[in-house]
Amino acid sequence: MAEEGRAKRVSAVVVNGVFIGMVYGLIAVGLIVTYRGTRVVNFAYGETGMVAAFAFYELRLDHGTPLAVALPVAIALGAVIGALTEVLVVRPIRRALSPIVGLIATFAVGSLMAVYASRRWGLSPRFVSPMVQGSGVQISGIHISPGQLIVLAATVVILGGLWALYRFTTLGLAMRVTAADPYAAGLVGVNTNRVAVTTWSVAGALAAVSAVLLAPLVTFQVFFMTVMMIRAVAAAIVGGLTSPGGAFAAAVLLGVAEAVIGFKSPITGAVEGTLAIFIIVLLLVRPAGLVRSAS
Amino acid sequence: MTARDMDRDRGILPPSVADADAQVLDDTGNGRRFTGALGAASTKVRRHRAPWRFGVVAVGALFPLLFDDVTVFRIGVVLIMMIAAFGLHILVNWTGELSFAHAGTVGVAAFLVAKLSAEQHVSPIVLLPLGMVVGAAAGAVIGLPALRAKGLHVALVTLAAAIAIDRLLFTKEWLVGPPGGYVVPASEFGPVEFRSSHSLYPILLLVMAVAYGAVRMLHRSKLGRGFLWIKADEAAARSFGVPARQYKLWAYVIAGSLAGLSGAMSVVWVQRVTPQSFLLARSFTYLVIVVLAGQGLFGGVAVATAMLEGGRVFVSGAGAVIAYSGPIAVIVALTRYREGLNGLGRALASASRQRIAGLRGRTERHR
Repeated sequence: MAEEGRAKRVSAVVVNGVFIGMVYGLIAVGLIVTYRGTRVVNFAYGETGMVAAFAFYELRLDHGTPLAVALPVAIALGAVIGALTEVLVVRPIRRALSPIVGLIATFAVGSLMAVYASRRWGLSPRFVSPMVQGSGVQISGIHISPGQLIVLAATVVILGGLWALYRFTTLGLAMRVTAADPYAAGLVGVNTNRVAVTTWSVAGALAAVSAVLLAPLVTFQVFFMTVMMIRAVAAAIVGGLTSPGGAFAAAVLLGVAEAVIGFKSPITGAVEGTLAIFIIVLLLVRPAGLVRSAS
Repeated sequence: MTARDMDRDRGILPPSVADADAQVLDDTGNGRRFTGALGAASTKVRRHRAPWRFGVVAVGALFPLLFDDVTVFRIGVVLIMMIAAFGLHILVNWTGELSFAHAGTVGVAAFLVAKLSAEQHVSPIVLLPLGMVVGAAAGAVIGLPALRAKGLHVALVTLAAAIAIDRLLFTKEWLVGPPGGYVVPASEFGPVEFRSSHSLYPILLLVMAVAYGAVRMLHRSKLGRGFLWIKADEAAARSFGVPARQYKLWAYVIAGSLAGLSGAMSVVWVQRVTPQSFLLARSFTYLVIVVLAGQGLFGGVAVATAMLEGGRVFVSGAGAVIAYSGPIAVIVALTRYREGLNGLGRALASASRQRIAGLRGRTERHR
């Protein structure tokens, strides 16, 4: 009986890890979208989502705004922040010789948003209930909450939508061409500036969705996405900063590993330490990542 | 046509390397003008510095002693931060590398010095060299990936290291001590006991003078020149025989040692160390300072540190202004004026020299 109970607890931990990993995967895919489009690692990605999530929950909890209004507003806010970041910050430095310049600039944008958010919403953690209430479902004795089901559904919709965007639309083709060779794309008539703004807007919207989904599953405070970014960056690095599929799979594995380590080890910071060592070893042994996009 | 231009035309010095060399000359006013490949014969160029400048610097350095102990303490906090910022300046603006783990390096050295001082009853002043060694070792560990990874990946590695230090090391009681942090006894050196900021201030000035002098010597050395060339054009530097990987590692080690010195000195100065003093966000403050400072020597770093840390320490209620202005200043500096405060200083100095020369010329003509 005790063994059975323990097995159930471990299974529940693994399942929780899978769903958290899915959200990490969405964050990682957003990082890859911007890197592939503009060769800039967007360190403001987490804070973009955080601001959108806080706006969403302020509308929902403080103003009683319906979900059908609050969610599009939050997504639009994320998209606008992404677009403004590209136009005002990334575009002027896109021709910089060192990619570190873009990294520092987006880090500064993220810090600016974190300062604003901490002054507007404070640093205290808060509890937010899942968007959809209910009892969830039971699969093989493992309980899956409504919040986790929403994560699953959103992941399928978003990844499917991104795949369709890249594969079947003119915009997606323009984004792929610009990612492969911006100069050549410009020569064949692609408005690379417009594509870059669109790329960052899509990524910003993705950040908003990721943050809104993640908020009920973790401690919701101003730096909650900043903490998640390192996991997403690790997953994106596994994908060589170019493969969304590889990054997503790595993120899910990372979520499971994090959940298991957190369950097994009482050491504070064990997860972050393990993650840091993993990133360092990976970048030393295989800096191009474990999985790279074929294109 | 200068000798440098002739060398460039003959293809002896690639343009980017020659420009980096010119930059060294511009920054210091002293230095060597290379007439051939790296290490070839050179002619010394010395700019005469007016003696009154040293007097002004000495008076300026000792001026804070006129203020009360609290003000001197605050000035000391700013100066100690400046030491760490010098280290990151060497790494970022001289070598073109990056480290998000700089505050963590300061903290590791500070905690180890504080631990030894509090538990073994050793004066923290005696442990200043240990702080440098610990910082250098931490810098080497963080910089080891620089041997293999490049640019962006190194930055990501340092970010991972910073988070690991913050979450793994700074939560361990064996390192950071009891919940209130380590309380370190007042510093003493032999029979002399330092019980006030006024008494410690000359020690701080001495430490700063030694650090500044050492780094200035580095700027004129082969290693320092190699840093600048690696930043200007790493491929060209390698082709001229500069061992770029090893030099980059040295840059991390030197940055780490200055961070360690800053951490150890903060233990001496503040006599209390808590993890909140070395949060990850502090690394970004150091980064803001060096980005604002721009390429060059230390004037920009000093001004940027005085503005940001001095504003935070001295101006009550300026927290919001400082918090917003730091990131905004970085964005403006990176997108509009990458030369930074050092570049602004060079432009002003050049303009004032031209104006003075113009006035002298006019005076001569009137005679």
